[in-house]
Amino acid sequence: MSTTEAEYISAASCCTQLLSMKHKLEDYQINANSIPIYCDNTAAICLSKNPILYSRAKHIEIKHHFFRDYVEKGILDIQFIDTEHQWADIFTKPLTVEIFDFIKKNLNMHFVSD
Amino acid sequence: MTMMGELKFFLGIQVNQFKDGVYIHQTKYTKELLKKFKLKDCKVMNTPMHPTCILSKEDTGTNVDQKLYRGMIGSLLYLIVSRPDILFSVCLCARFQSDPRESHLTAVKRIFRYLKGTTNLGLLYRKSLDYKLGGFCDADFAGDRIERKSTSGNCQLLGENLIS
Repeated sequence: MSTTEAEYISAASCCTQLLSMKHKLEDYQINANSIPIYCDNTAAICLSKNPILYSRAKHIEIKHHFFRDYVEKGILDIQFIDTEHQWADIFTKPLTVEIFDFIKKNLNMHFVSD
Repeated sequence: MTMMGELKFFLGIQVNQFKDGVYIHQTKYTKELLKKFKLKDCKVMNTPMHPTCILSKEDTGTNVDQKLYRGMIGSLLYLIVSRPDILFSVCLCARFQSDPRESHLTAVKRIFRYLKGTTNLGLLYRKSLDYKLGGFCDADFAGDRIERKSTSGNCQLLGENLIS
């Protein structure tokens, strides 16, 4: 359950970022709804979709639970993604060449030719 | 205020503007860094860090020049602006700034060796009308061996462009 906690907290911090971006986009008349968040831990996803306080998850601080409300309202949409396609991997652990290059390509990092 | 034309170079960040998008890169800055730390002739590496690399605080190796180590970290931190790929490795090395040892310096030098092979890598922002916001989040449970803290990472994309 501890891995879940780590993933859950990381999802919550991702939400804060996305919500502030959503508000900024609203100033430009762009309304984003059901923003997808890709998470690679099913337990963390279940925890965010189910607004019940489980005894096994009660060690997670209350402040991290705020994003459940947004999931319930339909503003955020937490989805599962397998580890191979998890682009945020590059920010959390050292990777092998193949995965590293794959993620780099997906994050729109290219060689500049002058 | 005078109009000086298109934005090309700003605080070490180079901006290449095309019809279908914008490139943000720091080629010049990276080259200057390699020159500054006299690592121009090093061998090229494919990744900034070895996949099974373990850095620890209680290292018995010899002490290295703290000023140099901090200088390297500081310069690399600015490079993160256009290089999210080295973010993790730089931040990991930055934790040993108070007592840098030989092994830590080797890790930092490896980042430079990686940079040497990828000096002209930059972020591309394509022009599009797709304003779909999306986020990725990931965590590494107790990835830090010193304080057993977890690492969390997330990135946000607007359409297909990385914004944070």
